[in-house]
Amino acid sequence: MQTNNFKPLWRLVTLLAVFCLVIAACGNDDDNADEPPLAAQATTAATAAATANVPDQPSAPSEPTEVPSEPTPRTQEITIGAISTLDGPFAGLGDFSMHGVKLALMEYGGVLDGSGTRDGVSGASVAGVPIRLVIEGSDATPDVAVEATRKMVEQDNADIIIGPLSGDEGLALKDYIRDIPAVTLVNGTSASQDLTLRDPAPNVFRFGADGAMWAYGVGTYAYEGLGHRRIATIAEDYSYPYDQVGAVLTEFCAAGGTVTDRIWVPLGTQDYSSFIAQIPDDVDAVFFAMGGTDAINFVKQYDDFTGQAIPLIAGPTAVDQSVLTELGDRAEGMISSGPVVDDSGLANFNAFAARLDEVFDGQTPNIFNVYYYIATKSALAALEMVGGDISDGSSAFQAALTDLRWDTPIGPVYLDENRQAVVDIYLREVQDGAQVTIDTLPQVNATLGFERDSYIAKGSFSRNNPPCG
Amino acid sequence: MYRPEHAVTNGSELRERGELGGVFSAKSGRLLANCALLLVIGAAIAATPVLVSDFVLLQIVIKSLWLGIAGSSLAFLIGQAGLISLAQTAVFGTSGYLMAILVLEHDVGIWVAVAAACIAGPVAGLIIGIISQRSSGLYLMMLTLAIGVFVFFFAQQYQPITRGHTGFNGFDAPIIKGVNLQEREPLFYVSAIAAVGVVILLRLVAQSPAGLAYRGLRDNRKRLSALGYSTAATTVSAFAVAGFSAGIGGVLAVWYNGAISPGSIDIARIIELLIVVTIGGTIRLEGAFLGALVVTLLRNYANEFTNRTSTLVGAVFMVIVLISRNGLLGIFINARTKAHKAIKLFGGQRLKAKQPYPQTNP
Repeated sequence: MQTNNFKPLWRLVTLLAVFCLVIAACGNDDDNADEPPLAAQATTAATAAATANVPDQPSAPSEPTEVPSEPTPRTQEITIGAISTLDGPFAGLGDFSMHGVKLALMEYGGVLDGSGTRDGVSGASVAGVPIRLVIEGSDATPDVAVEATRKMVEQDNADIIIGPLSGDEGLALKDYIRDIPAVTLVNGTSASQDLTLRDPAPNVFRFGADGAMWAYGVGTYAYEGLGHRRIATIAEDYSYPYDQVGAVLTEFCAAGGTVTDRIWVPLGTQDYSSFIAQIPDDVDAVFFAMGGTDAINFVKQYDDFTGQAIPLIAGPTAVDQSVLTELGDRAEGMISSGPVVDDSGLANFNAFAARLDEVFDGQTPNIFNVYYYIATKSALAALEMVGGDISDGSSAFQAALTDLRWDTPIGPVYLDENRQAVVDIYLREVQDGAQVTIDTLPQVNATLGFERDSYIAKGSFSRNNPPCG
Repeated sequence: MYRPEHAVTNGSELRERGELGGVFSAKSGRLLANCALLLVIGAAIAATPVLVSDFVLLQIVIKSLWLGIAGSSLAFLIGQAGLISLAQTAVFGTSGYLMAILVLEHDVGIWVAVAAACIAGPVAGLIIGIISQRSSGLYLMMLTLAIGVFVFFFAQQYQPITRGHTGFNGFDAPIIKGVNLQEREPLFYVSAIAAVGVVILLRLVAQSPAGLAYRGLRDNRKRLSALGYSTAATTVSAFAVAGFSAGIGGVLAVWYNGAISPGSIDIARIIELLIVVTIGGTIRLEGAFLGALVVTLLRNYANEFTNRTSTLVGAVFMVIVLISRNGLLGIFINARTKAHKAIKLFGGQRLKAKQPYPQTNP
């Protein structure tokens, strides 16, 4: 405090440093070499871009793409608000999801404003009605997700919300969006069962599977295909892994198997040694359900400690393409089920993968970009069916969404009475760092093929539900 | 011995800045001035819903108010007692969770639950105070951080009570005689009245003998105990008083969000509360509200011109800390002092007592 002689100098230096930080914060990825051509593209007429994009649009053959051109193009515009986790632990996944949103809009004549995650898409239109994209981020907490969505709805007048990414955000948004019937939520990757299964909201739509559906088929395959009789489970301690473990055990125990231990680890655990030590020696396999860095840390440590003496069966996101490269050889041969495989051979999937790689250099399909793409494209297709007219409080649009059936990059989709998709799920194995199909399980529904009322009556999956030997 | 930066301010300086000036000072002039101030604040509160849009009212103003109320508990602890606590979100969460649990799990009447939550605040503060009564400075920060993180993990993992990661959704704010607090204007008025009430209450405490003891805790613990005060009891009671306003903040936050989950009290929220208080300045309680307003505005609008909102918030934080020792409030107070000097220069009447020493540091 007495060294006043040095103070002005230091203060100057520090202020300069802070100034640089502010500049860094406010610069919008100018260093990216991709941007100048993209920005230049943006100035070309949107129609030119639209015609250029038409050949790239082989998907959605079953929907009426031939909408009669509107004689009187309305001047109003429709705003789509996309929300994903752009901050916090899942920030990387948020980037993936925005790729999907933008890719769908580009099929409708949109041009990227820039290469940053928050840079929008301009020039897209449906049936002559311009579509505006606004992007907001959360940090995977429900509070922030609701605030970000409220901002899009009230400040930016968003008509359609695409997202969110994580399960509990979805439940919070369901409660929020239920009170504003004219706004439609098309879910991104929020996989909480109760977004649609129990107490659904009329303006919430999910064109993807929930967490339990993603894990469909593994329990039966482990019992019948692999001959396992006793398994242990280890999973993160929150609702989404409960759904995955619940689905696997429901099937596995119905087939006659037993579960010895259900180990729950806190989200974001770094050191799994004490949990790995709890796994009994006499089980046939270990089912693990984790995501992101948790999955990477767990598999590395499990591999180091045990050499995978007891084989691992993975949850859908634990070996999703978004973490597969990080896992490397350790994931070879792991069995899982999930919505995305790399060798489905579907024309739509291959077209999507090629387009993704072309626009966002080097990106490959994963749950997040595929699901956000499907959500956005579903919304746009339904808008097309109603001629871009949502002036009736979105009721015709929401009816069109409810009836929508189309062939997504990961197979055909249609909605049940709770506006939850019935989808194809793939039983898959990791081979050479890619997800290879063992079996395609068609038309998986929200109750995993069980009788609906009794399935719902069993209650939400939790640490101890389902009860099993 | 560790003392927070602003602890060097001495009594007469504080008196100049009005911190010691009483709400109910014996001088009738002061009383009149305070009444006028309350009237102005009342008018401002009444006018706000007319002046701002519905969105701004809810997401900027109401949010700033409850964040400011929670922040004022930390501002009180730091500014008055020199106790930098990172456990205020723990108190905030305890109250919010208690109310949500009582209403949604046990079907307790909303007002009983609110009363329980308001009592839970000081009680939680008391417990935190008892745990940390013997430490100060850096060790106090570490200890309270541990408590804050403990409560977060408790909420995250102790499923039977807290519903784990999902937390409680669908909490409906109460209805008072047909006025639904889920609507924006009523919620705003309640929040604003709570904010004014909390500030008045904390200032009354600050002026009481207990408030002087807290200041002793901040400025010189040894001398305080030499005077016969128990530093332990003083610390514990300071935490309990601060816990009251953190608890009120927790109740209002649950009304505002309609939900509470571990994400409401995680480590990011602990740091955010500290940023709020530091940006606003701890020299007066009102700084917390100023800081809350700035942080809320940045969080809502910064992403319109940057992809890196958090970096920008951090940079703004650093700029303010660098140019002003007492946050934004320090800048205003400094400007006022300079204005007084200018008046004096032009032969105006001296308004204040002599400066104890020239202020080189803003």
